[in-house]
Amino acid sequence: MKNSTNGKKNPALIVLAAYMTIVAIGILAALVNAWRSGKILP
Amino acid sequence: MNSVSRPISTGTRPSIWRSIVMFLSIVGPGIITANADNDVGGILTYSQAGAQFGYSLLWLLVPITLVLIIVQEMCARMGAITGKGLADLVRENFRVKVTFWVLLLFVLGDLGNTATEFAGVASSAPIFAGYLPFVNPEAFKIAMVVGAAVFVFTTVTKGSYKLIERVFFLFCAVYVAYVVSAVLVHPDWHDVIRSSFIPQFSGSKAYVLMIIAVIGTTISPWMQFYIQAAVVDKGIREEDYKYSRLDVVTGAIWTDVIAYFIIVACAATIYVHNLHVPAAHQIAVNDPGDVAVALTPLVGKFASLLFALGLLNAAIFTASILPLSTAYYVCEAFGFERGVDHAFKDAPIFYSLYLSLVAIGAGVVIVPGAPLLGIIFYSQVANGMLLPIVLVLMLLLINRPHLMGKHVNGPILNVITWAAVVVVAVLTVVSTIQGIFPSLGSV
Repeated sequence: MKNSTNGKKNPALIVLAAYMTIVAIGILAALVNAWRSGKILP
Repeated sequence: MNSVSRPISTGTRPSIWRSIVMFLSIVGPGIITANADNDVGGILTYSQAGAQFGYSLLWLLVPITLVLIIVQEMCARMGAITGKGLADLVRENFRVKVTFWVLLLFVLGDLGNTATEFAGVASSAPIFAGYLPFVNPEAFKIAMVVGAAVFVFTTVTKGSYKLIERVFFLFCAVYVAYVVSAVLVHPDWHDVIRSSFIPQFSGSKAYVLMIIAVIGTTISPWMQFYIQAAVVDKGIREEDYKYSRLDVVTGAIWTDVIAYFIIVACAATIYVHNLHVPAAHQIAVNDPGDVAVALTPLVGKFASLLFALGLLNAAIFTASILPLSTAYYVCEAFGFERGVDHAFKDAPIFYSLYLSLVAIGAGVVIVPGAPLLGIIFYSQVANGMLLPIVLVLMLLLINRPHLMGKHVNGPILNVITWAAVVVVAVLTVVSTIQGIFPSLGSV
C-alpha cells in the first residue's frame, strides 16, 4: 500500500475497500434481519 | 496516557530480583487491556454464547487465546521498538486517505462499544432499583447512565482516572465469581473438556454471528490501539520489552480463562435448564440481567446483585478507557494536540471527540425502549468484522525492516495471524451472504 503517484489503483486498497463495503453491508443486513424478525439476538 | 516514566535499563544480565522489580514496573498495559477486554460486551457475549449454544463454543477460545496473545504482543512490540502508536504508524506508512477511511470505521465501531458500556450501566440499573424503595426504575436508569457519563468524563479530564483505573482494576476480581460459580454448578466436566478441544461447527446464521461476536469481543480492534499507546506512554523500550511480553501473555490468558468460565457457568445453568423444561418455562435471555442466573449457585438470591455490580464495574472501567483511547489515536494519526493534561482550548479536537463519544454513547441507551442487548451484541459483531482490517495493517507494518529492524515478525507469527485474517474475513462474507439471503442460514 505504498503511495501511488502514477494514478494506478493499488490492488491492496481495492481489496480493503471491497472488504470495508462487505463489513458495512454485513452489519446492516444483520440489523435489518434482527429488526424484521422481532428478535434482538439471532 | 499523559505520563511517561521510563524504567531504568542497564543492558547487563539481570538478577532474578531485578527481573521481578522490572516486571512489576512494566506490568500494566497487558493486564489492564485484558481486564478492559472483559467489558460489558465480553461478559454478555460469553454469557449468551453459553446460554444459547452450551459448551459447543468452548473450543473457539483455544485458537482465540493464541491469536490474542500474538496480536497483543505484536502491538506491544511495535510500541516498544518504534516508540509510536498504531494510528501514527498507519498514517506515516499509508496514505492519509486510507488512514481517514479506516479510522472512520474504527471510530464508528468504538462509538458502538462506548454505547455498549453505557448499556451495561443501564442494564444494571433495574437490578439496583429493585433493592431500593420508592424508586422509578426508568428514572433511576437515566440517572445512573447520566451519572456514569459525568463521572467518567470528570475523572478522566481532571487527571485522576489513573487512580480510578486502579480502583476498578481491583474490582475486576469480581470476575472470579464466574470461576467459582462454574465449579459449584457441577458441569459435566467430560463434556466441558471434550468441547474445549474438539471443534464443533454449525452453518446456522446464529452460530456464525455468535462466532464473529466472540472473536470480536475478545480481540477488539480498539484494544490494539490502546495497548500500543499504553506501551509507548509507559516508555517501555527494546531492552525492557521481554518483561512487557510477559505482561501481555499473562493478561491475555487471564481474560480468556474468565471468558471460558463465564461460558461454562451459563451453559451449565441456563442452557442445561432450557434443555429439560418445556418452552414456556425456558429462560429467555432478553435482558442482560437474565444471565445473572449463572451466578445463583454461588450467591443464591444475591446473584443478580453480584452480576449487576460486576457489570457496572466493567462498564465504568472500560468507559473510562475506550473513548479516551479513541480520541487519542485519532488525534495521534492526524497530528492534533492530545492528552488530558492539555486545556480544552489547546486540544479542542481531542476533547470534542472524547466528549462526543461519551455523550452519544450514553445518550443512545437512555432513549426509552432502546434495545440494550442488541446494541451490545451487534457492537461485538462489528468488532469481529473490522478485526481483519486492523490485523492486515499491523502485519504490513510489523514486517517492514526499516521500522522494526531485527524485530520483524517470524514466519510462524505471520502464518497464524494471516490465517486469523482469512478465517474472520471468510466468516464475515458468509454472515453477510446469510444476512442478505436469510434462507441460507436457517440450518
